[in-house]
Amino acid sequence: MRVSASARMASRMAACAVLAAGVTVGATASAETRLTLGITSNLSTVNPYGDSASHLYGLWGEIYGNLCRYSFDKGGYVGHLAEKWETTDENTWIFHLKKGMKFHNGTEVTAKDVVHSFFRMSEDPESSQKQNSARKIKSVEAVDKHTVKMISHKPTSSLLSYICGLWAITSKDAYDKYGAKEADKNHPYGAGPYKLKEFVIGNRMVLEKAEGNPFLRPGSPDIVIVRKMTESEQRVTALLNGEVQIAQFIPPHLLSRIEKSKNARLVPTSSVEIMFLAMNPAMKPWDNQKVRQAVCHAINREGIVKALLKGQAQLLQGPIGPGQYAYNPDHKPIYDYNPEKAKKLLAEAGYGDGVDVDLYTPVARYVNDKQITQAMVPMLNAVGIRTKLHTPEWVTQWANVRKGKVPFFYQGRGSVIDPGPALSQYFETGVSPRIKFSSAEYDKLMQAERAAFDEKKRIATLRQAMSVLTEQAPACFMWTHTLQYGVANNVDYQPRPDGRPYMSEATMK
Amino acid sequence: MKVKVCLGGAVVALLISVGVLAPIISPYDPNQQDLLAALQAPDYFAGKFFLGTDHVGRDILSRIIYGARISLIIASTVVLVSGIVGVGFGAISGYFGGRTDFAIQKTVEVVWAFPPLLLAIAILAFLGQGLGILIIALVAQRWIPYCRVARGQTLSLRARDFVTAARSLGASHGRIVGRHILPNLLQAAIVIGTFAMASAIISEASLSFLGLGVPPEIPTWGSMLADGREHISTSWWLALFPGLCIFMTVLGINLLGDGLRDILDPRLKRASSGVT
Repeated sequence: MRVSASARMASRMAACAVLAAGVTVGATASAETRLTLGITSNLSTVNPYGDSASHLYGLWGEIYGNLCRYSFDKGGYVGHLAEKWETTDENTWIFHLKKGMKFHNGTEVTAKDVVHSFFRMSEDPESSQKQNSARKIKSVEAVDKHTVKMISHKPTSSLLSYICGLWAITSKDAYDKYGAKEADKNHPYGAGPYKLKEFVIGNRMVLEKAEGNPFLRPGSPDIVIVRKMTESEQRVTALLNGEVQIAQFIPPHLLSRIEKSKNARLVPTSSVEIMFLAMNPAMKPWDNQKVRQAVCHAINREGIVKALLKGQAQLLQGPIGPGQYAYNPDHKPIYDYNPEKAKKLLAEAGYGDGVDVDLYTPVARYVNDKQITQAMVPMLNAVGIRTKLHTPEWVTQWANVRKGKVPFFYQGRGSVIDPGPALSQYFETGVSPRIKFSSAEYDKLMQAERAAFDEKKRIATLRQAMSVLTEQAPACFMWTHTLQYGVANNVDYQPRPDGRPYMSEATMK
Repeated sequence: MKVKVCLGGAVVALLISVGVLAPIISPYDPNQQDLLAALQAPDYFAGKFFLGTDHVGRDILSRIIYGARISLIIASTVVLVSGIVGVGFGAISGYFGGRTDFAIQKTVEVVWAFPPLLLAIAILAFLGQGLGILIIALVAQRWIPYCRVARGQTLSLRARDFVTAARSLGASHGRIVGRHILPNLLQAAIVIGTFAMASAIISEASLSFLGLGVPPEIPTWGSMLADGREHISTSWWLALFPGLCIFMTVLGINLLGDGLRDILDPRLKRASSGVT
């Protein structure tokens, strides 16, 4: 076949044009900043109200926006979509929304969206947040376009702890137009700094910067990929290979790998997640307080922190530790490592010949969780609590814990800045079935702390409630971790003590 | 042929010896923890821990020795139970034929359709962890090769003169199957058993690696390998030694099985001697 000179010229020009276009596309692509975050928890549902887990609250907050959040820099709650708030009486809270805040589809965030979000949280059949975040609130109404009135069932001084950083504000219009499932999956319009681009349950979440969003910082990554990576070796290797830029929860035995790296560094944070061994009093032998107390005396927590956590944890002498609201520095430890006392308590409880129990731990959900519980087994066996360890997958374990089916388990509760909501959720009668503990004395104190708007009185009541809880021991409170994040050197990021992965706070160098 | 049998036999003999003598030769209790001695590297000459310690300070050598015992118990029980079930059903199926044969063979086809490891995972997920349950999960499909071979051989044996003679002398079905047919099925069952043993060890290790095998307090090579995975870049000995044990054991058992097949299979014997 013969080709004319003009045709050859035309084809060369076309090739040049294609090449040039390719270069332009390449240049655009290389300018795009991308940050991948390796997390240990599950990405369980696309429904922003469908799970109650610290990391998901943070990720949904980045997409949909929250009314308010906790600022560790300022030591208090600050507005996010809300500008300010006030109380007109002990049950009535007025929130004033910022004007001009837009969802990703361009519509304005209004009071009716807040009312709608409360409706979804409390009425959505898949909501798992109604027990914790919504149950204190009786009603939410739109006073005008930018003003929301919330009325609590009872005076609740800690109401902001139930709202800030938890409620995702979703679009009522999207819900009305598409329905909950379709809106969550294909039209997740939020007012946060990132748009949800892709969500693969149990695997990854891809976020794309919402250009012009006021919550973005200069240098916030254009694309954020959140990947579930439960194996710590996998996270560290991926970080060192440049596959991820932030790796959560580096266990102590892998710190040296990052310390030796030229491409990444360790950034620690003192977590406010409290770790505990929960004992469900609805099941034997945990209905007996002395058996529960025996467990607390049987475990050598200092030894575990020294040997397995390499000192990367702070022991708890009650439900909370230093830096958390209402912490009592004068509280005297009541559960020292004392196997003889544990044996005595067990005998007093009627289990002089010992007792068989099943202990459940998640694997790779918390730092060295399996290793820690493996170390606890011989300690418990030594005092006569013959322990069989079970290591289910986190998804199974978490589902069973939420249904109150697990008798004895190692667990963490994140976001314990103000301990009121967390301690209510896990230990107050009827709030959640997770532990099924019930104490009239404790319930009364928790109700009193919520009703106390005077801060001194509230702190005193909370401390009293925590003393009762420590004494009655539905859980042995273990420690809070010093969490180590592996961060690539081209990223500026300071992880939050509450574990919320607000990726707009990370900046690319 | 003899080299294979000798090498394989030596490995199996070592496995049996170590398993049986575990309480005597193990330097420590396999579950004894010493948190302050966690993750100590192997010290082959003067150290307290010859192959090092794991993440909670347990002696790796002691756990490997006890792990051999568990592997041996699991593998031999699985082979024995699968053999009894498989050969039994195969003999019944082939001897009686007709509807009995049809029913047994359809069951075989249905069970055979499941991938073995997936079936075991499903059984363990449903029934929970435990040594007995693990054995049931591994037997669930391993009886089938015995059954198919036993049926085929029985079909040919039942037409042989000695069976006809026994029947004409008034022997019962049970006597014919038990005294005249089953002894002729044993050679093939032994060969299948050796290969099944290696496969059972690998399956047990795989399930323990996935956290679905025996409970964590029972040391197995698979669970040791799984624990070692978390430390593979910093404490290599946690994963290397149990991995080597699995490798050597499976290789040894396969060599033995190969050698036994060469000895016991008359067709191979004839082929090697030039007789056709």
